[in-house]
Amino acid sequence: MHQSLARLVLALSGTALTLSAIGCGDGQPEGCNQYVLPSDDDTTTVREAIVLLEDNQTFCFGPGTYHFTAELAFSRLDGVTVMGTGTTPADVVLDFAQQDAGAKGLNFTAMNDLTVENMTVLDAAADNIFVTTSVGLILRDLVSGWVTRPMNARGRYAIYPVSSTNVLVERVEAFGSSDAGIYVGQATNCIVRNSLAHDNVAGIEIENSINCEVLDSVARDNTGGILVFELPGLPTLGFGTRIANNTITNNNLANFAEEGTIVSLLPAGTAMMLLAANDVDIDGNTVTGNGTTGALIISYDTAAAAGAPSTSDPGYDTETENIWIHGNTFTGNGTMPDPNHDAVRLILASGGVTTLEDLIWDGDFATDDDAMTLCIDGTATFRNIDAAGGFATPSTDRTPHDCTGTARPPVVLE
Amino acid sequence: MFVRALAALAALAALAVLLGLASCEPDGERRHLSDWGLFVDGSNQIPADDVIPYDIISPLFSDHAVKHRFMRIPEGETVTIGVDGRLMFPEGTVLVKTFGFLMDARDPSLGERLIETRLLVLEEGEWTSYVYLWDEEENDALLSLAGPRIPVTTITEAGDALAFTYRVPTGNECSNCHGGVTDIRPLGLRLDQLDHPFDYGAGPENELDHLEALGLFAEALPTERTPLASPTDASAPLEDRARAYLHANCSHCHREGGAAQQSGLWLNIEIAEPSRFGVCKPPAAAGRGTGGRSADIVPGASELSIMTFRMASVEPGIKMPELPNVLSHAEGVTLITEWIDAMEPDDCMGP
Repeated sequence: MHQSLARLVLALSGTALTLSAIGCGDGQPEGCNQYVLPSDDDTTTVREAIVLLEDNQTFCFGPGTYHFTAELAFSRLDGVTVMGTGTTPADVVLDFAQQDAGAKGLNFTAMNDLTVENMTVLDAAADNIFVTTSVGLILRDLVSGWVTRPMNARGRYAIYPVSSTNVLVERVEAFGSSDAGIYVGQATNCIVRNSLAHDNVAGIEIENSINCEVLDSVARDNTGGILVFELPGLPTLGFGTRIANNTITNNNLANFAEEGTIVSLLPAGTAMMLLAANDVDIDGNTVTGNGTTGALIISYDTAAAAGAPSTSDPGYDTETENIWIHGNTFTGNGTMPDPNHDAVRLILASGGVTTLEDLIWDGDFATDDDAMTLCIDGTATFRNIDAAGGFATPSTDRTPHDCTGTARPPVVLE
Repeated sequence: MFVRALAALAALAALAVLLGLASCEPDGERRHLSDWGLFVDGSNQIPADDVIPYDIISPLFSDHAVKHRFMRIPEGETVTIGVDGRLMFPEGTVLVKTFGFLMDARDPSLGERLIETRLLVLEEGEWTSYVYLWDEEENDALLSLAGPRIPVTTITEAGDALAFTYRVPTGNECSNCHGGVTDIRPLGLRLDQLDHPFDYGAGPENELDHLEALGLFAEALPTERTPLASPTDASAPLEDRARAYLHANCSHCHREGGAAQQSGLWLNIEIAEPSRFGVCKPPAAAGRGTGGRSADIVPGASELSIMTFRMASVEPGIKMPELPNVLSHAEGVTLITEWIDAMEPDDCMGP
């Protein structure tokens, strides 16, 4: 970063540079280095101000609703905070419903020690808040979702940190996403907590990430509540997720994901889904009213049999392994399995049943010791659908899985 | 980053504040493109004596804009060759790219309207980007921050009359393509992009040979070189043309360390593993960008491949590249379609 000249100018003028929005050098709130307010041309006003942002500065959106036709790109800055100055996130609304340039709303690239907080972001073309290849993220007190775009034109991810290290997402509300409301991908060390995801295809998804936690959150009225996926063809292989003390309820929304996406294969009524995930500790959750099941635990091979592309990724591990499900409360799940899902219908037919259990496992495991692959303590009902054996011998016998699994150590964000 | 440019334009703004003037106009020693002394005739893109024109084999499609490329290396300094044949420039180098629209690409002599000139300047070891907008008379170009939208018209080589709104990038958008995880850097200045004939005024000669004869390189160039295929060279192998096109048009983001690294779809020319450049690769985060298709490239079936669907789209959230183009590149879509269709068929559903 070249900052010497800029600093000199700051020293000369005795004020932060604000060439836009509120005139040059007018007063702005304490702690704001760049301060914008709604204007006749928010896209120009705000983009000009963003270009002036430097390391260790705070970019402030004053109260009001902003309308953007292009994405807002921040890149290669350290120690920056981007925030709304309202009393609540609802006081600052960034509306991208008219976006015709770029796919993201807020687009952060290579931003270390970034905080984004206290705003509402709506209706970007693809992703509302996107952060990639950054270290040290705090995304908090945010409301993000789709309200005006029709269901078939909704974006993918409301909150989307990816390929980043030390990621904290807290007190966010994410809704209306055609993929996942809160999606953390290819992260190392992440915590999602005290958040709410509703009316998305996937509420909260942790994908190809190392050492993550989803804690004290609510996932309700999505197609699926909380997902841990390990997908082939990506640069990062993940392991290690704890899902604890969440409320995962009534995730029965009809799946509206675009065909061809992996989440389009998700049955409605799925509280949790583990796909090729390794080292997952699920405890203390309250799981109620999810029509298909409380947790669907499958390998990528099973997903491929249900329509996902086959993979030739040489480093990929297709099985779900080392899962521990304990101390959860399961009630009223599996009472109305998704009637429109081919694989769900197959599971019902193979078992000769019309309802399903709290936990569904495909029976596909990598080691000889399947007890170690999946351990279950507590009152959950269980079904091994024997997908690996062609659905020939499904079983509801849980005793092979009566074991104690491996607790995940707490995630520490440095 | 853009900070040096900002400082330059901010200096007078700050003075204006001190003087009680409410001027918001950018100003400073780099406010005008002419402050750099790069051209003896800017309107006709005639460079100064110390400014060297160049061209590349496989260019980035930019909504049918024509591009004029130049470099200025400080006197007495030399260029070394880095990883992947990248030219590694000395401190003070200025790289210049002017974007304009021909009245009629079928007959360039009918004239051209200049829109913008972008500079990458190597200062204190880092590349800084500057964007200048040409005035209507093309007397000079003025530093730009916000990335305005400019209505343009042109007639393409195929004879299509186009009228659309061209988008100039902001400084931050420059680093979206030129940056990513790695530092901001030039994209086209590599041995495999320069290894072709160019007319410096004495008839076509190899660009690298010409630059070497100028004493530009600190070391002897490798004798074994593999130039990219030109995507428009019908005599070159289809695969080479397609990969050269993807390299130039996609790999600034779709590479390790690029802004689309996380997609796992890496399209730089160095990638040899088919699943890494899209063959039977499931989408990670494409959303509506799948178009209902389940793999980036389904060999033998472009109509089932996500790659061609997104390249052909102009809808934000679906289209590729995401930025900054407004239009789809028909010739590019055709090339990639032909390449995929010529592959040995595979339905990507496993054995």
